[in-house]
Amino acid sequence: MAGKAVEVKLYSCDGEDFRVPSTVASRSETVKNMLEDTGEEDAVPLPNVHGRTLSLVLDFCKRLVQYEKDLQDITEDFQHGQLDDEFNAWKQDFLDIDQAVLYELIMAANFLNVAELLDLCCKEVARLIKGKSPEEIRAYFHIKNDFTPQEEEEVRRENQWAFE
Amino acid sequence: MPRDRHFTGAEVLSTGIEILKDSLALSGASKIQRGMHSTFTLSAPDHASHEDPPNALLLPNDVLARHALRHLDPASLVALRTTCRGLRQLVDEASALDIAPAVAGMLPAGLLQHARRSSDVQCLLRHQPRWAPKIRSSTPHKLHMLDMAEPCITWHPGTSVPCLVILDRRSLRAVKKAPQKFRARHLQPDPESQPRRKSQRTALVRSDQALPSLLVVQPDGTPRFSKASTDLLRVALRPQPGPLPWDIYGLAEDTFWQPFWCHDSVHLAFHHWDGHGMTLAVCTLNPEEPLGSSIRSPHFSKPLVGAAVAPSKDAALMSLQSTPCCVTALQLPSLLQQFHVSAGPMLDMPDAALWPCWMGYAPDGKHFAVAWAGPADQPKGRYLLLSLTLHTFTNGAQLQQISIQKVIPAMAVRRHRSPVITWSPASLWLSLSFEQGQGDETAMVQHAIVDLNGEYHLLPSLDGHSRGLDPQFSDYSCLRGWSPCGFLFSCASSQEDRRPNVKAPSPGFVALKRATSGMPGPKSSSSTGASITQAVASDGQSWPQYVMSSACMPFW
Repeated sequence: MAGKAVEVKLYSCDGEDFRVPSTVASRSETVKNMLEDTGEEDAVPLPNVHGRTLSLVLDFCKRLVQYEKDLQDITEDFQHGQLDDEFNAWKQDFLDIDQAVLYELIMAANFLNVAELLDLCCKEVARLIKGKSPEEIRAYFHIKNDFTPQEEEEVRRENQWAFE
Repeated sequence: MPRDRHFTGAEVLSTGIEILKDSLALSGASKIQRGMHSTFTLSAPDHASHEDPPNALLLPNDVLARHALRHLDPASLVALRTTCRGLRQLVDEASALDIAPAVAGMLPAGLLQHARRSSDVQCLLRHQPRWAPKIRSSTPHKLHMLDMAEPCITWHPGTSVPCLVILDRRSLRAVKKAPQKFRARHLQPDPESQPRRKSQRTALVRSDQALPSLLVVQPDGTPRFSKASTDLLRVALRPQPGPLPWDIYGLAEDTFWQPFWCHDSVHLAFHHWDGHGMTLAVCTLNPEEPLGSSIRSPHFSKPLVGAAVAPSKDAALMSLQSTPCCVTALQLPSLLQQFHVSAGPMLDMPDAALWPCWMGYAPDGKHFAVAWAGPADQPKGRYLLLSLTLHTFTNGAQLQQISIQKVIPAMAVRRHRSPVITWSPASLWLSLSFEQGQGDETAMVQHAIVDLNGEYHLLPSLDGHSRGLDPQFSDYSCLRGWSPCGFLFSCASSQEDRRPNVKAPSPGFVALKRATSGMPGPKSSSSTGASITQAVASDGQSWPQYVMSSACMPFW
């Protein structure tokens, strides 16, 4: 009989606490290191992460653990693609969030060192940038144009092909 | 230094590279540290404003550079680095440190194939730092200022490794002014220009004595300089010993040239009209083993379309002339085949009324397509006819025409808006993008897919109905392209409002989706279903999908 997974306790900066299996929490390299240092009995404080963001991070980690477990259990090749499709669809839904939340998620993924989540979120940022003109990027991300007209002309000239 | 001294291209290049090296040295580890501490502000558009973004969030540069930038394509990187100083520096540093794709060094072949500008080369050098020291430490070269040169970048088909080739036409123009002198120099090196060091094997000569110059930078950064390439030019144009049958300096005025990869070596294809006849030539850019092949005929007429180079290992060079419509295949090291193609009987008009607008090999090197366009008399307005002829190679040298021609009516006759035709990387389809409309005011970009059987599938307009481009808006841009797997074709268009900085995007996505079941086995003659799906962005945010139609397409 398999033993019950060890649960660990995580505290967000706004006082919210989360109990998750250590396999899930250990997807974060930061948490994993802290658990190794302090032991799994102690609660892990995460002063840089808000509760709502930590909840999302843990949702992602849970789904990732589940996906990896499912991958190990498959017996047929075609199931691999099926699992991938399901996970990709889940990730699409997962990223259906406000941009402010997305950036919080990036910061949290960076701090917690969840490589898969950081990569996923940064891909989303890249997707938001892709296909936009410089003016559109400025407007979308509220970037102030600090080029002088001469500098901007020079930058455009360097990669003229992109503006034709 | 004497005041009247002429600076050679090599010196200019060396100085430039020295500066580049200095700047690259600055962008080492210290810049990584700086990047870790500097920040770039991204704010959520729904909540933020220029003055006081309440929900502004700070992304450390290294997060953005190491994780987000590497997912961006070169065009987006360019757009990003054009937004502000900080992002310009960030993108450049990320590119120099191989975190993000080099802005110019990783450009898709289609983009740079026709971008023969010095800025591209300078940008490439900037973003390929491992090249710069090798170029610097190599033999000085009499390449003239980059501004006067014509760079061309070719891409290794398997690895997408770029190879840079620069043709310096300025020296060629200078040569034309003194052809006798040039010939003398060509056959016997100028004693005054003997190298001052043993390593300087290439003579430093003044501009009016310069030979055609080629600079080839190989993927490992090893440069090939003018001396060898001059020999190669001679090999290419005069494969057999004997006097030059025509003036080599004519190259300066009217030569199509294109570098390409074959057998893991870079080759150079020439397509040269000297006023009396046409020469087609191919040579390898390998000084140790120069290999040339050429054919010249006074019967070839001046081409209206440039050469197309087969990407297959056969390395055939194809060239098209208008009258007669003639395609010549050259295979290293000898002439392969010459054949004629015509616009065909479906176009009831003289050949002179047609212009060949495109030709190209499929990536598998087995299929070849030629397209003609021309005006047709219709009661209302002007129309364009397009004829597409598909050929296929069988048994190596044999050429067989297998497909039918296709005529596409009702297109605005505007040469500068010639159809854009591309082969699918899978070599199974051709995509055609063209402008349709009654005049200059209204137009619509249409996309079509032609399969190897000559079946023509017109894709619906991007927004799902036949809304044309709005005359209230100014010029439009249209992007299209095949996915690397060759089974997906995407296109998108947008129009710019006449008001500054306002866009009315209508992006779309049209995909040829490969069926996941019922795939025939290899070399099966049966076909399988493939669906054409279209996803439309009605508001630029949502992407509903629906199946548009289905078609049968062969898979091998």
